Amino acid sequence: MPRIAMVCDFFYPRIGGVENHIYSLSLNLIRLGHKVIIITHAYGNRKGVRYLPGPLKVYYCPILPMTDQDAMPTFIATFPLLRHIFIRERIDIVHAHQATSTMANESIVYAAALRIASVYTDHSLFGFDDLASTILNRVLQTTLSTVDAAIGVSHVCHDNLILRARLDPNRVFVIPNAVDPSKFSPDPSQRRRDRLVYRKGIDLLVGIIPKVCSELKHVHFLVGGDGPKLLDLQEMVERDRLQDRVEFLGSVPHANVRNVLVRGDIFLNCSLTESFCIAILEAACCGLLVVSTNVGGVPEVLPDDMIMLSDPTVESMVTCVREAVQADRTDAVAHIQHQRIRDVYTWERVAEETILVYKKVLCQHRRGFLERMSCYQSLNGITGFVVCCLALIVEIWVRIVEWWQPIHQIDRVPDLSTRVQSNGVQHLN
Amino acid sequence: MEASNLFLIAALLVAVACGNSQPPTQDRSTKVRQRIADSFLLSFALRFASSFLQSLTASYSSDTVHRLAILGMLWHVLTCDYSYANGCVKTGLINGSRPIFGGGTFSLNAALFSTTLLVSRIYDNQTVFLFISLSVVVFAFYSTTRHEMAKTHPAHSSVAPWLITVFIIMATLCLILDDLSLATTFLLCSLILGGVCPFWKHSLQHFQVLIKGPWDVAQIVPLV
Repeated sequence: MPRIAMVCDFFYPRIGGVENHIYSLSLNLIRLGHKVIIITHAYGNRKGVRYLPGPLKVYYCPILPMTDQDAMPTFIATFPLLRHIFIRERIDIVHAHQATSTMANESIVYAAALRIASVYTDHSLFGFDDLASTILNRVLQTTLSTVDAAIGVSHVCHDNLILRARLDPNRVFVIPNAVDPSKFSPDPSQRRRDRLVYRKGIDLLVGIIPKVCSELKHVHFLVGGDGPKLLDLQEMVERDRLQDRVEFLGSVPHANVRNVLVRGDIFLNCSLTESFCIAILEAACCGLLVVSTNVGGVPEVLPDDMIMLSDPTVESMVTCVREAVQADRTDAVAHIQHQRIRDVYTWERVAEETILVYKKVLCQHRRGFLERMSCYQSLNGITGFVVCCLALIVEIWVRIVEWWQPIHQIDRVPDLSTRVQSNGVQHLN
Repeated sequence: MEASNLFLIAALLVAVACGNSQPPTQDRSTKVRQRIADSFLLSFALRFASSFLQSLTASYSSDTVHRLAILGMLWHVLTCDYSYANGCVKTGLINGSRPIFGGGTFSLNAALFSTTLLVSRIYDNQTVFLFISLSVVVFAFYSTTRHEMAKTHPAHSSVAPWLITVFIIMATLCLILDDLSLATTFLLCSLILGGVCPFWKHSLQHFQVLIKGPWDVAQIVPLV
């Protein structure tokens, strides 16, 4: 069974879609018999090795986060530590996540230098014409020139990744995200008629709420979340005197999201861009009818009877909300919807499809130094030349580190034996 | 100095003429009263401020003042919101907007910082007041004026913005004509920025990668 190292700057205690994806995928890979570890940087006092239920080993490396919990790009400074971890855990595959993660990008380069198979999963969409995207795409093109396989969480993400990083389409796969259905079960008894729950796209929402409230007198809004745009919403509520129609819940911990969702009938998603949008999946799993903007990978997530798509304009969204409110859905529909999502969007499926990708990359030939140089040179122009020089520096550094910390002096960590309880949870003996 | 003043006044007259070419949104007498009241208030505030601003950085050495003033003006040039000056409206807001300085807050702060530094080298209170007033007019009001002018008299169909630019360049040249190298450098930079760079940017457009798709962030159309 291949041994996998998930590498990303973004992991617990930070909460988010990428973090949940890494954790859920790792747990299910462990349940299927694989050895999985997670490598991330330290969060505050959380440094060293921690164990999460699974048991899932997490290395909180003493690497300095620079901005927004993203590590400072050091180019070669983290190599000795990561190499040490890869060797002591006998890692066969490095699975990196997220384009904006410095550790993920660096780990792919290190894996290629150490002749370890590498896989990359992209979770976000990026454009092509603004400066930040141009720079990020160039970095991604550089690091992914030696990756063995890439995964997108939706077909839009797949196409976007191929165009941004100029990858061979035969090496890019689509494995959609999933949801834990046991945590998002419907409860129609909690509903008070016609409550909408929203997420993101505040500028649209500021226009939608007053129009919907004036047209549909029995509709109430539940607003969960926090951020700088909350002030715009609160000002709108004050201005239009909608205090009895709009309820602000503030920041909702992820553990309480289900309890908020089940209070609603319709989930309103006004996002202006989404690669997959797991929020609408969670809402649909709780039995809500979803009204969403038709952006990014959203149309791929749910079938037509579970979601109503609209253009990202106020008028279209209001029309869609009106139709959703008038839709006649019984409580039984919520349970049927939950069951359908439970059957399709499971983390077991994601893990099995990811294992197929792992098997494919393990069969591939590992690139030597000259092959990697030719990959970097294919970037063309000044970039190709500069990256080749950097690759040479990395190679020299690899030799120095191998002399400084010989492989035979690194202890291999024995695998801890575990016992599996009747509910499928593994425990250490 | 007189020639420089003449060019500046000419630029100001062109800007005022362009401003008054718009259909009036309020009664003329009310507008005149408001403008006079505003100018009196501003003059009073600046006259009061100029007396203590003059002494604020008086203890700094002259070369420190000069270097910092140059750095401040460079920062002003770099952080100025040129898209606003060319008539672009900031998008993304549907209902209302908080008042912001369209020309760039950092840009304005940097310019006023340089002004505060330089007035410490002027010994006459009246001159300090005039210098600060000119700075406020040029850096605080001109960007909005230019923005309005770009909407009513765009550069591709009107000669007014070109006239103002030429007058300002001539006014600056008149002041620095004694130093031939500085004047030549300034003129060359103006020609490159105003003439060469736009054509260069136009020629680079066909290298631009424009791949549109469902991954693009949706643009919200502001509510009227």
